[in-house]
Amino acid sequence: MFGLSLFSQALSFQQLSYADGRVICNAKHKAHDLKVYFGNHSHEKSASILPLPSIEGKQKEATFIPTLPFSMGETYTAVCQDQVLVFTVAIPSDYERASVTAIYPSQAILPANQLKFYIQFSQPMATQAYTHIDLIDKNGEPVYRAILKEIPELWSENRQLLCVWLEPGRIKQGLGPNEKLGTILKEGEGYTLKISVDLRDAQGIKIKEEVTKRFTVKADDRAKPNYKNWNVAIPKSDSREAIKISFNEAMDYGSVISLLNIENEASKIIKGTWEVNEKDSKVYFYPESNWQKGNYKLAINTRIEDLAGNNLNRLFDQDIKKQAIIEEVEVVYIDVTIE
Amino acid sequence: MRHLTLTLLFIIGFLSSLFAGDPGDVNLKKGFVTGDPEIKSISSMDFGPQNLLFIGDATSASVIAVDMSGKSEEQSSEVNIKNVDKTLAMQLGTTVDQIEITDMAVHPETKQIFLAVQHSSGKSMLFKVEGEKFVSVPLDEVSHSKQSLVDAVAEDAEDRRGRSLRQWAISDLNYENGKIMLTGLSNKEFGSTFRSITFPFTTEQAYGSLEIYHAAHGQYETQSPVKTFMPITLNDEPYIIASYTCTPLVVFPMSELQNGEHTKGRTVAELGNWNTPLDIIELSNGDERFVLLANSSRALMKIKVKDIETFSDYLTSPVEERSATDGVGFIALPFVNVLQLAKMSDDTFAMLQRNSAGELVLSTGGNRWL
Repeated sequence: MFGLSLFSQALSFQQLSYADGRVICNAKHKAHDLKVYFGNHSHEKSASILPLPSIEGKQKEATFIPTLPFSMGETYTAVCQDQVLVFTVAIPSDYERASVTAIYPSQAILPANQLKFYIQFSQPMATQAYTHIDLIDKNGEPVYRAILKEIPELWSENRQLLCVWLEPGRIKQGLGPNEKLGTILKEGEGYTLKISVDLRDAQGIKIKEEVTKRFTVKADDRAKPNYKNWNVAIPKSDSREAIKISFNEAMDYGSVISLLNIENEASKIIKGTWEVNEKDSKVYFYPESNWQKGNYKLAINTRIEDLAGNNLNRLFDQDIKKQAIIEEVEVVYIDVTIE
Repeated sequence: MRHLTLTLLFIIGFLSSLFAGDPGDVNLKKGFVTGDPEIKSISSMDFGPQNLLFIGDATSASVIAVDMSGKSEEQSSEVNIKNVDKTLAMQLGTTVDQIEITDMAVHPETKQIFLAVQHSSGKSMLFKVEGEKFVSVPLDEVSHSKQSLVDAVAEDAEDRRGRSLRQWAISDLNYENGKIMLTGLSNKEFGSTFRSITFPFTTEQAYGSLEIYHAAHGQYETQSPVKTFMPITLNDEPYIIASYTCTPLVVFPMSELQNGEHTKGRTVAELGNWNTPLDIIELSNGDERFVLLANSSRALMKIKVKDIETFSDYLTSPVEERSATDGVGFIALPFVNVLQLAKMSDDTFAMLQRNSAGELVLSTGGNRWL
C-alpha cells in the first residue's frame, strides 16, 4: 500500500541490498548465506550476531522476504556471509496518520450504568488497543479498572471500529466490585474517555493525536427500551428516501447497526444501508432500489440494547425477585406500509 | 450469601446428539483437503485425538481442524524459557509491544508446546517450542477441514452491505468426544454465545447457540461473557465449567442442554473482585482431581473437583434455588501473573507467566503442586 524506501545504507557492499520489502544478496550466494536480524547490529562482527534469532521469513535463493513486512521506522541488519547491511524503513513524508472519526455514544450526557463505547478510526488499526484507552475522572486521574481489558478485542472485520466495554463487575448490582466501590460513573460528575496517541494503526504508526470524549453522567437507566414508543417515518413509493426510525432514547450503536432489518411481505430482507443519526436516537434506512407500494415491516431483534445494555426482553440487571420470567421472543415487528 | 444462576437460552435448536460418545477408531480426517485453510487469526486452539489441532479463527469466523501429523516432535516435559515475548518479537522483526500470545496448547502425545502469536497488524502465526527455540509452523499448506461459524441466518441475509460492523471474538475453544465447543462474545449484545459443533464437520450447520445469564445473590439476573471454560465430569455426569469476565466460576450440566429449555446452573465460587479468570485446566494426582485456574489479578488457583462435586445437591437439580456461602474453597499456588495455562499430562502443566522482573517465562509444573 505504501512504498517502502531505504533510509540508510551503511556498511554495505553492492551485492547486498534492500528494496521493496525484501533483501537480496548476490545471486551466487545460497539461501542459508543470508540472514536478517532486527535492530542495528553493525557494530558487531557478523559471526557474533548469530546467537540472535534471525527474522522469520521466506528465502528463495538469495532473496529474503520476512514473514511480517519490515515495519516502518524500524532498523534491520542483513548479513550475507561477510557482508553487513543496516537499513531503516522510512515513514513516507506524505503518510496519512490514522485518526478517530467518531466515538459512540455521540451524546455528551450518559447514564451512570453506561456499558459500551465504540471508536471509529479512519483506517485499519493495530490490535492491542485496549491498553491505550482510559477513562479519566474530573481530577484528571484514570478511573481504576474502568475499561474491561481482559477480553479478546472487539474489532470490526475491517479493524476500523473498536468496541470498548466498561467493567461490568462494577455496573452489575449485587456483585462484589459494585457493592464495595460502587459504579464506575457517578451521577452528576464529568468524565473523559481518552484514546492515547500511542495507539497504532495496522502499519505500526501511531495515531495523529490524542483524542478525548468528555461527558457528564445522569441517573441510571433501568428501563427496557419499548419499541411500541418508537416512531417510524415512512417514505413515499417510487423514491429512495429513508425509513426514519426514532427511538425515544439513545441506543447502543453496535446493536442498532446489526439488529434491525426491513423485510417485505414475503419476509425477505430489503437491501440497503443503515445510518445512525441524531446522537444515536434515530436510525435511517436507505433502500438500494426504489420503494414499491406495499406492506413492509421493521424486524427488530429483541437483543437490541440501549446505552445501559437493557434489551427489549430484559434489563441488564434483572431483579428476578420482582419480575416474573417472561417468554422471550427473538424478533418483534412494526408494520410499515408504503403508499 | 452468594450464588449465581445460570440459564441457558437456546437460540438455535440445539443438537439432540450434543454429546455423542467417543468417536473411537473413526478416521476423523476423512474428507480433509490439502491446501491453504486461509487462517486469518488464531484466537483459540486445542489439540484433539489423531494429531488434530482445532483452531478457532474469529477474524474469518470459522473453525479449522488441522492435521499436525509429522509436525510435532517429542519434547522434554520440563521447560524453562525466559523472555518468550522478546525472543519471538526479535525473531519476527518487531517490537514486544506489537505481539500478543493469544493461546497456548500442548500436543497430547509429544508434549510439545505450541504458541499462537498475533502481530498488531492482525497476522497470526503458530510456533512450536523445540528445546529453547521457537520454530514457526506454517499453516498455508496443510491437510485440513474448515467450518464457517457464520449463523445460517446471517449468511442468508443478503444485506451484508454496510454491516461489516460485526464484531465477534472467540474467547475459548475445547474439543471433546466429537464436539468442538466454543464460547464467544460480540459487540451487538453484552453476553456470551456458546456453540457446539459436530466433528468431523457435517454439511449442515451442526451447532447451536445459547446465551448464559447469571444472577448475583440470587437476585439480579444479568448476562456476561464467558472468558474460559472446559468440559468436566462431575459425579459421573458431563458438565461445562465456565468462568466469566467478572468473578464467578459456574457449572452447568450438559444433559440439560438437550432439553432446549431454560436451564439453571449455579456458581461454585466467586474468586475475588477485580479478577478475570484467564485459563482453566483439569489435572489429577492419583485418584484426586483438581481444577487449576489462571487469573488476571490473583495467583494460580487450585480447586478440588471433589469439593465442586460435593458443594451441593443442586448440581443435579439445577432449577432449585439455593443460598450458598462463599462457594468452593481454593488454594492459591505460588504463581502470580499466569497468562496462559495448558495441561501437559494428567499431572503436569505448562504456563506462561510474567515474573516479578517483568520477564515472560514459559515453564512447566508438576504434581508437587497437586
